[in-house]
Amino acid sequence: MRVKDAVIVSLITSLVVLFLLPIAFLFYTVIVNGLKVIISYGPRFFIDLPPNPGDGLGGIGSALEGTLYMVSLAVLISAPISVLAGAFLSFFERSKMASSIRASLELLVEFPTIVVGIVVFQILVLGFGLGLSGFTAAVALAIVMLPYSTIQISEALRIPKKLYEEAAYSLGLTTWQVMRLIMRIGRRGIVNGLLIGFAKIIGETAPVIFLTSSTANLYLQSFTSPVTGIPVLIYTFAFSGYQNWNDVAWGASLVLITIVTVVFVIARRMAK
Amino acid sequence: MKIERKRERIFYFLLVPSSLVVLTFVLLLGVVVYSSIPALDRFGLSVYTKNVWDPVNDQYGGLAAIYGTIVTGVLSAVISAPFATALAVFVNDISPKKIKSFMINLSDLLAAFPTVVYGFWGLLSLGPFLSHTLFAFLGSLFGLHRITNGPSLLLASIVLAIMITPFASSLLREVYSQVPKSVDEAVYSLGLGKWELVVLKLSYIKRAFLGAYALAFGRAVGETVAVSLTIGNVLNISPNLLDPGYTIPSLIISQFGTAYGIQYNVMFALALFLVVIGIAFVIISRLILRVRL
Repeated sequence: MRVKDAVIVSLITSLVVLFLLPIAFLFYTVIVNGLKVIISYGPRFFIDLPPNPGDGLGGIGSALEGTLYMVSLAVLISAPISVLAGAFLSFFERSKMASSIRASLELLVEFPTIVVGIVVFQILVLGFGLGLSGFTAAVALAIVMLPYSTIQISEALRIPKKLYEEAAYSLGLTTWQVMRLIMRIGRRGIVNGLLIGFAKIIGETAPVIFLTSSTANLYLQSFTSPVTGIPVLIYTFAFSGYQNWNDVAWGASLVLITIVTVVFVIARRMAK
Repeated sequence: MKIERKRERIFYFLLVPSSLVVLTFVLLLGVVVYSSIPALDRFGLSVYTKNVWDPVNDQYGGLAAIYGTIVTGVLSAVISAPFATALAVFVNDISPKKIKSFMINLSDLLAAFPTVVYGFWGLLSLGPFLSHTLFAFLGSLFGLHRITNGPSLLLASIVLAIMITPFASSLLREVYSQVPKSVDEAVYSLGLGKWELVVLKLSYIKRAFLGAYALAFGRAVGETVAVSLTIGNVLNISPNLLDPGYTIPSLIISQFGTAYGIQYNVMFALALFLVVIGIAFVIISRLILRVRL
């Protein structure tokens, strides 16, 4: 190998290593600090309420429950729209409507999530007088998720459509039947798209910060009562300055990145 | 004829949920514009060009937040660019196959990571660490004074850079892999090596690079919690990057909850600025990316 080549290869490799250093530092810190807290508190970390400031350790039960509730509701709201819109995009690719949908999706992906949060607050809380509840938070999360899952799903349906569309039509099937067939063939891609959206919104803080309760000491009581979530808990506990709240936030961070990683790995497996 | 009609009906059936996507965007934009009108009416453009934040006399101008937004956005893009490029080249032309798929998966996972975790780690681990090392060094080198134990424009930019690198590199990776194989063949058949290959391919994707970074910049300026946790949240315009600052999203997240009256509308006016920047950069990136590759 010539000197020049060795130079560029080592330059690029060392830049990659240099990038991996802070990432390793991040993983190390979250895993070590998080495990310390979870192990010393025990399995009730996932069930108990957070501690009072300065008053020992506690759990993240209410936040975990709130997160799972909000996020599932958001997926339920977003899923039918993104599946049908994804089907539309792959079937009527060249229609005028498809290109304006595609443009909207690209703009929605870049729409600052904090702005989604304050707009939903303005419409649902101030406009319609709905209180802070799992539902209002879920609407904001559904909007954040929508572009991610729709883009993924329309991409996933593209290949089965290309492969089977002509054959299906030549058998005399109607467009309706062809579409159902292709969606059945591409079902893994559809689920994959929804999982990507799920992984994206489970860690979102900004869109729900004004739509959730800032006090984390609540289990879910009714459909209209405010909820809290793990990301919001981490954010408020990080700023608090209380050592025990910071510790709980480390544990919560570990739980959160574990969930995201597991969902991500499942999504990748499915996509193969 | 019959098939034709069925196709039409299904078209309209799917059109309803699909148009919800467009409607959502229009609604978001519409509410932001509508809610910022009172603030624009009262302060005019000075809500963007003045640096004043005075709830007692009800005077607001978010220039300091705009300054912080642009500084952290540009700085994070500049810091991240060499790493994202290196990562894209590495997985395509340098790494062994096994490491390649690991790196791709890792970088895509990092792009989907909760930003609050980056921010929390930046506040409690990276910040204090850099404060003792890099920031102390920069401080004594340029004679800058430091008033915090980490949180600053520079810390926020570094955390942002770490966050957007995986995203930018995934865009660059795709474009880089689409450079025609004939380039590889030509380089090797001339007896040239990796140096020429990488330089040539990078010059091939120059425009796409700008497009990718337009998107990454848009993402960086819209990021909220990670910045809010690491920037220090002080409204000032200081050329000293080790000073704390504010960005539009971090200003909104810390003040929206208690804002009332005209201040509430000022929040939306600043959000409008953010949204307009975002839209502009999406359009710029699309124009660039469509022209070539």
